[in-house]
Amino acid sequence: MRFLYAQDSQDARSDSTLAALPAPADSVQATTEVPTQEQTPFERVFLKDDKFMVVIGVVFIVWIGILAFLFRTDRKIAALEAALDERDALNDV
Amino acid sequence: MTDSMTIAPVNVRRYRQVRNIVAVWLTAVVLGAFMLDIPKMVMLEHTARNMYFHVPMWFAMLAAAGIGGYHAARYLKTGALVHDLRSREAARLGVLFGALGLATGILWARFTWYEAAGIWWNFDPKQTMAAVGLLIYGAYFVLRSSLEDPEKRARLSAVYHLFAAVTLPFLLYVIPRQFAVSLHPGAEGNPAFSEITYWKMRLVLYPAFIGFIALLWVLYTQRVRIALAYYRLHGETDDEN
Repeated sequence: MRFLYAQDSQDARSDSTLAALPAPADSVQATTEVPTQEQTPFERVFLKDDKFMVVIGVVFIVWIGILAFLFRTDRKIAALEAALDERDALNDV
Repeated sequence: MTDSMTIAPVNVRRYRQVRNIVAVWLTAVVLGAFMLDIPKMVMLEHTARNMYFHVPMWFAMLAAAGIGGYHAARYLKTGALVHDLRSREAARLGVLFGALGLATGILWARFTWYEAAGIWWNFDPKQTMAAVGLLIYGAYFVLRSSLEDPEKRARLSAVYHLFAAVTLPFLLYVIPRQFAVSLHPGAEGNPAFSEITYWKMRLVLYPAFIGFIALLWVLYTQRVRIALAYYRLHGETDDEN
């Protein structure tokens, strides 16, 4: 009995603690139906399926960034190779 | 030492073509991996999509072992230092993809197989053998760095690389399937991968295999180009660095 009582009171305490905390601003947005303007088509795409499209967008941006880096490195290598070709051509003369 | 390095340059035109195709191809794979629907599977849920990225890492590592083993054999036959250099760069990329495969597998397992246990590692046979394979490849670089003479280094490394490359399929595919307890597909009691794979997932999975193997080739060739340019500039390989 004592065990049950102790647990009950602990639950009550933690509940009241939670209730006393101010809710974070973003949780209000996430959990309530705030009447807003109609979504633009862009918003409709990105907000559907629990904002899954945003994740795809982020992964896509990361991938494109890495690709851009790969291409830039290639251009530097090509410039280095061209400089070496030029040097070797001069040495052969 | 006549120059196998300058008479066997990289085919830059072909490199660029493959690279451009890979860029478009893998972009499509990444988008398809997230946008196509998958069946909801017990325990796996959305992590089933990890298959698109985790499994190709191992295919890429095996491809790297194939390239590295091939050039190790070519070195032993011809003695051309360019094969030693290509063999080394293939091993580097193999270790990269293997490490990525292991890391992704550890994270994936933590929140699926070991979700209840709350552990990161439990000596799953395939995972353990993959780690052994990485250690064997790690020793390749220890061996290289312990030898000063370029010819000797190239010869001994080539022999060791052939051994390492041959062990890899056994470590990743043969040995793990001898255990009844592996959680990976293909072990006893688990369905093989083809039986559990929904047709729409194959639309991403097979292109992902091709795409990541091609990406491996692109990165490998890029590093070979850098190593060859270094050699032309300094008259020796960049092994010392």
